Amino acid sequence: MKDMKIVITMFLLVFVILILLFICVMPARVKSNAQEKWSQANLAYEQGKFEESVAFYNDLLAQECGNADLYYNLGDAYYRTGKSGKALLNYRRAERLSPRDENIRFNLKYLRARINSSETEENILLRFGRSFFYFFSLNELSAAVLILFLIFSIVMALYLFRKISSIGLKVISIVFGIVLIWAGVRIYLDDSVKEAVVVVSKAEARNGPGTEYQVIFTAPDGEEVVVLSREKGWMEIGLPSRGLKGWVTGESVELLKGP
Amino acid sequence: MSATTEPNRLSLKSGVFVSSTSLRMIFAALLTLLAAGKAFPQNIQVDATVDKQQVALDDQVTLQLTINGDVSSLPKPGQPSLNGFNVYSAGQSQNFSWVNGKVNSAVTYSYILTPKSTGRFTIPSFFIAIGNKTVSTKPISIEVVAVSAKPAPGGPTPAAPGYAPKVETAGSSDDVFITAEVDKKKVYVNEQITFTFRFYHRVQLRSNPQYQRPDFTGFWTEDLPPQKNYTAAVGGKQYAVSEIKTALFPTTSGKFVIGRTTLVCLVDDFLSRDPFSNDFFRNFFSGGREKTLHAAPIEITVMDLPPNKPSDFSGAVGQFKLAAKTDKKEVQTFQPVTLEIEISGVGNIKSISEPKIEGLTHFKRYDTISSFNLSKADYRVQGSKNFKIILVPQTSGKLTIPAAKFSYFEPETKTYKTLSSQAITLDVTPAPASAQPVLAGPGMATAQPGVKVFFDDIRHIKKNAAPSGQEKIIYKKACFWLALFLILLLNAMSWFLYRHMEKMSYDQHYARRGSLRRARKRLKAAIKIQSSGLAGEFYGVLAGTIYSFLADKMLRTAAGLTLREVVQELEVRNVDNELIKRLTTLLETCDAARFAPSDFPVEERKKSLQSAEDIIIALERVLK
Repeated sequence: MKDMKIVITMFLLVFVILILLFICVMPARVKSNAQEKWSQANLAYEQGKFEESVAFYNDLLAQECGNADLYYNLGDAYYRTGKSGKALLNYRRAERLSPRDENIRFNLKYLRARINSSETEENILLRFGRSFFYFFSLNELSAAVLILFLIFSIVMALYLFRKISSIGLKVISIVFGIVLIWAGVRIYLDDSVKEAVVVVSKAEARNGPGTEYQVIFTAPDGEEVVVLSREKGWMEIGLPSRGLKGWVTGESVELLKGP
Repeated sequence: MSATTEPNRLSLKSGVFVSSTSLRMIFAALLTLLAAGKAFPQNIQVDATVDKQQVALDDQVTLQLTINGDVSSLPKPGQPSLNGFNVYSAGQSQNFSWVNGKVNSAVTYSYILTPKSTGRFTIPSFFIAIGNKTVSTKPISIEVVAVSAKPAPGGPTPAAPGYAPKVETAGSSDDVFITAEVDKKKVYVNEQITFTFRFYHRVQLRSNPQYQRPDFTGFWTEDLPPQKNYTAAVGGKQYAVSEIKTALFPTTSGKFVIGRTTLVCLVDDFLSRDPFSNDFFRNFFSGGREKTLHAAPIEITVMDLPPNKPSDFSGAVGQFKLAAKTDKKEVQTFQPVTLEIEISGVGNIKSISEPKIEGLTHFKRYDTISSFNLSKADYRVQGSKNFKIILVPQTSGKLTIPAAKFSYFEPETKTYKTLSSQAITLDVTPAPASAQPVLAGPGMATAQPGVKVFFDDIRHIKKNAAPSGQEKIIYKKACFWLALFLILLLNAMSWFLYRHMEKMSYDQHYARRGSLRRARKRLKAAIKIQSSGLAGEFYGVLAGTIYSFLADKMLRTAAGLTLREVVQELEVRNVDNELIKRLTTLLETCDAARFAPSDFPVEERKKSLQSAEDIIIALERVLK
């Protein structure tokens, strides 16, 4: 009697988990006027009113309607108004949500080539490894962790109660283990590294947080940097590829992942 | 200087009056061209020409400086400074062409030179530095000859600023004065007002006067060169007059004030009967006297445009004409066609916005390139604005470019007018498949020799379904961690169930755990019937409870257990004899009660129940 109760509770739990999984993967509710705004923004872009389309896309973002397509289009519109930094920032945001989209990757590559005339040479193996590591988006990996963990739990239970052989359990354990580590490292990097992009035509990096300090280097519009610390409206940025660090005013860079 | 009417040429003109003192500072190399693109080898030519090499003192020379190059943007040069001349910028015209990805642009800067004195002067070379290369023009020599003096009676006579007519006295306040006036004081928004400044003087000036423009806040200004010099009689006295006009376009309605106009000049502080017979040394060493002259502010009322504006009205005021044409009538699909729309007329040409074209289907439309051509004949700002729209037909057949519409307000008749151009029909033939340009990156161009890359650009926007709400990062959501926790709980539950079932099958003690709890439960049931039920029933429950308890402890079934076996087993387990005796007594009492016909009083039952409870607790302690 008691054992039966536990088994029924477990089945209910699996059902609850499946509902939670679905909630996690589904985006937020659709806003009623999103479709209209979206069409207006695209129309403005196609008529060459890029400033106007930037405003419309930003309106949509303010209404919490951001997806990869919106960030991509906003990037295009910013590029047309001559704001390379803002464009790059939004392409990066689009890439974060949809890393395998060919158009996003193309524009990102195109813009980076325009901003940095000398692209850093990278080992082909390293480049392959990098693109493999970032092949799946964070959301895909997170969802995979949840689904694989659930499958793993079910397989484990079936194995314990002698319903299946151990091969199934071994396979799912290995797959789940790899994905768990992969997602863990990605989530850790995403959470700890504060990436940002320079959004002014020339960001002056100083030796300390204040105008009284010496300018040590300048970064162009669209330069990708890492924010190391913040103080009184100043941000300490780093250019890891060149080993440079300096303080810029808060408005000269914009964080990829919000404050 | 005149506007070019050649097709495919975009002209840009603007005129600026430049005070000659500021010119002194801008002499040197004159032009520095900043390198714009590094991919192209730059090829730039510069050329300077004048319309005449001999000029009278009261005449003017037009100097044209042309810069030609294959870069998309040529910078504006500094103002040339030329000794012996007053220099006015008379505008610029720009020509930009883009053929098969090659850029070619030319800028022509025009200057009007008015001589200050006679003699031979040289216009120095203009330099442009491109990287480490320098391009220069040849110096031009100009001869200034004396004016053929023939003062026209009554009417104003043009005169050079350095030339002063006969002067009788100097130093008194009405020897120099200024006036400022406007042609109308009540206008519509964006309608032209002509502001006229006049400087009257009848004394020798020591240096060029410094004219300070009044505050023109609320107006869009446009200088109206050239400066006019003539003589006029005021109150019976002859004055030399310098006149400067400025066109003003009010930007919004309301009351505006054109601020005080100021002019600072240096006049001789001693008497001189004749400017031509001045003692050379006196003239040379005398410092002169500085005079500051003012003209009163002027109030302007700007009226709002009447209501019932046409829907496509965007603020143009004046009188305009509209024309549209394409560079070709027959074209292949995917080949660009340039639609040129020209708005010409009198009014604020610069502020005209692009006319609307509705229903432009079957064409892909690219950015509009606009240019304007300004002329200031009769001191009225006029000219034309040209919009070039590049259209690429997407299908073949007879395609129509609909009429462009443009509305403006005519202040003379106080009405709105809407212009409409002719619709243009194009004959579009299908292009051979190989000729279709593929807009792609350079990587594709090398892979397929047949593909020609025309344009290197970002990809077009996406027009999928509208965003269906904020796509959030899953790991930052609460439900992600809640789901993880629940799966963990699920694991824990299945592990617990597994352990439980394992023990149940292998561990008899585990399986029979909780015997005391069960016994107590049965005793409670016995209490319920101790006073009401039959004695047999009560003692049956009591005996059953004890036997079940002992069976759990001995891993036996209660049904097959006898009193003798129990005593034997307990003795084996070294249970206290006293306890065994008590148990035997109790169980015998139970048997007796169950099968004896006599009834047992309630007190007796209570005693037995108490005894059973004590024995079970004692046994639980002993039988671990």
